[in-house]
Amino acid sequence: MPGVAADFTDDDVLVAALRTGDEDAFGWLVDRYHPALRRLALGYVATPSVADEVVQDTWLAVITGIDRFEGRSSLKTWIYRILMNKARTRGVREHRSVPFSSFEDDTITSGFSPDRFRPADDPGWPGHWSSPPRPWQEQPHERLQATETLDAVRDAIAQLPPNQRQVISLRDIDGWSSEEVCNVLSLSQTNQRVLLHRARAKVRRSLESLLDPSRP
Amino acid sequence: MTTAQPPDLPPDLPCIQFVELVTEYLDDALTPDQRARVDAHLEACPYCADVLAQWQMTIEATGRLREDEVDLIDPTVRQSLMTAFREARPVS
Repeated sequence: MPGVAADFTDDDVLVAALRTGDEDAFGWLVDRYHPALRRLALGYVATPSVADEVVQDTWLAVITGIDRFEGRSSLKTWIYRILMNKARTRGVREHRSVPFSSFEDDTITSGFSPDRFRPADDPGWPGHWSSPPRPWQEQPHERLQATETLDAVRDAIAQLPPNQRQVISLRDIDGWSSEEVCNVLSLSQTNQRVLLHRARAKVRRSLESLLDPSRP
Repeated sequence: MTTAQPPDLPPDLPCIQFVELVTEYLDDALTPDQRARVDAHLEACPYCADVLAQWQMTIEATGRLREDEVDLIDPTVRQSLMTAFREARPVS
């Protein structure tokens, strides 16, 4: 007879279950975090197979280290920190570390070209739209869920610099809070938001070209 | 109406600044004063309200990738991890 499913979203329950060898607990954890861990690792190492190794090493460290987890951070943060340490070490060894200070030559933050706004010396409306965006709401809502749309989002994210890709992945794919992201990636709130804003801007722009075909 | 006034007074915040603040606005990371200025601007500027809606739709579409990714654990990898767990942590 099946018992009441344990609430693994509660760290205390989850950690206790892991310590007693509860396979459901470990399977739940792997299913929940493995894709995101792999995505994060890919930002640091050269190939998907190395990323897979890093993630597997991380899980092995979780398995053997769970007794030493002290609960000073969430279990999730603890796991991601292990991953980050392993991925960085591996990336350095491969001369492929990605410093977070490497803000690329990207001058566009919002993704809107300055010439879409009236100039600062405009007599009536300086800094306001000269070429405003067209609303997407006129598009059928299903378009947002279409395979084509998701492919565009995925492609746009894949082309981001690694630091932007990691931040948007954790925030908008995995739904992390800004505090959690700053904590795991060792970013200031300000840097985290700049990276997120730039990343979202590029994804928005690629959706714009899809959802507003009148714009080149 | 005989007035020659423009339909709206220019709102305080220029659109070119609003578009840089969207993420902070959505994160509730603005000061109360900044937030009030953004809210006032959004009331007055339908274009920037569209931008905000587009930003939210972008976030929503990105979030859908998660559902898309659930099956991406290689079953062999998952199996080997479960085996490693079982061997390292026999049920106590």
